[in-house]
Amino acid sequence: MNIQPTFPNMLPGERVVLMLHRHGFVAFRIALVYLLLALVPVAAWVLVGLRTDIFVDATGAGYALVTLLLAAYALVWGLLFFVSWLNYYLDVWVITNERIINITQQRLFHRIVSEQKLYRVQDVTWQIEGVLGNIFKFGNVTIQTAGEQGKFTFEHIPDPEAVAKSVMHLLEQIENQMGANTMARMDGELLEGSAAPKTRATSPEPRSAPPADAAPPSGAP
Amino acid sequence: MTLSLWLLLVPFGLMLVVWLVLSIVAIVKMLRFGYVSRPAIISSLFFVVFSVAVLVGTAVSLRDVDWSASLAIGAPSVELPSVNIRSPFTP
Repeated sequence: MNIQPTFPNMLPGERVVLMLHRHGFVAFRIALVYLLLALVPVAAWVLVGLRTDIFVDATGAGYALVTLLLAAYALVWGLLFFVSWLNYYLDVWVITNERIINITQQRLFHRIVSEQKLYRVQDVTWQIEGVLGNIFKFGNVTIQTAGEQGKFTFEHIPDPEAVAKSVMHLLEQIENQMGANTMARMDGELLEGSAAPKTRATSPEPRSAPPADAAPPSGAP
Repeated sequence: MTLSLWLLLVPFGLMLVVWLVLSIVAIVKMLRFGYVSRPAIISSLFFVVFSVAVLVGTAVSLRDVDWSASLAIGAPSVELPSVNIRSPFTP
């Protein structure tokens, strides 16, 4: 779990509690694929190159052609590897003491950023599935919120249980800071404004106060 | 059909231009959205060093190639022996 003290575009008084990337095993799996792809020219050399005299004459056409093909392969391989690493590294979830920010880097030219206020969190679910997930202790955390962005899923993050606990702890802190009355007013507004589940996971008592001065939902930048 | 060897450089050059544009975009994205963190800088540096090494290695490997030579395309790789058949009807 990578904890960093600062994050750009922070609100006044906001501090980063968790900054999460997918588990290192995911990065290892990506690297393994590219390492295997790097072995393709080596295998081709063993199968073909040793039986030909194409590399004997460094001025010939065959030599030039094969060298250019190898160079193109290496450059494209390097670029694809870097872009895959970029997609991994820029896929990040940030939990601050006020917001949840979900940044998804799907492709080189496709980036989605969505955020939601923490007080809108209604339900936190974590799961670890599969043999590898249990061995390396990574899994998903799903955070249900009231709003258009409905659900945040932190995929393949390390130690999902600790993350879920951190979110619940932050929610409790917010409830303590804001007071029960304010939270009740916010919940009242949320219940009117969305068809989301009508209870908050941390508060078993239903709140039914009329809506008042709840903060507006935060849109995705 | 014969082809000048330097024509091989045209598709390679085009590929290089596309590759260069995508590489610059990728590095800029990494440094911009990776918030100039240490992994972002190190991985970008690795990528640049690797790419420069490949390009320099390619240039060094190809420096002795005679680009004015011709490349035979579609020509048989095995030269058939010429057989002089004499017609039995010719005197």
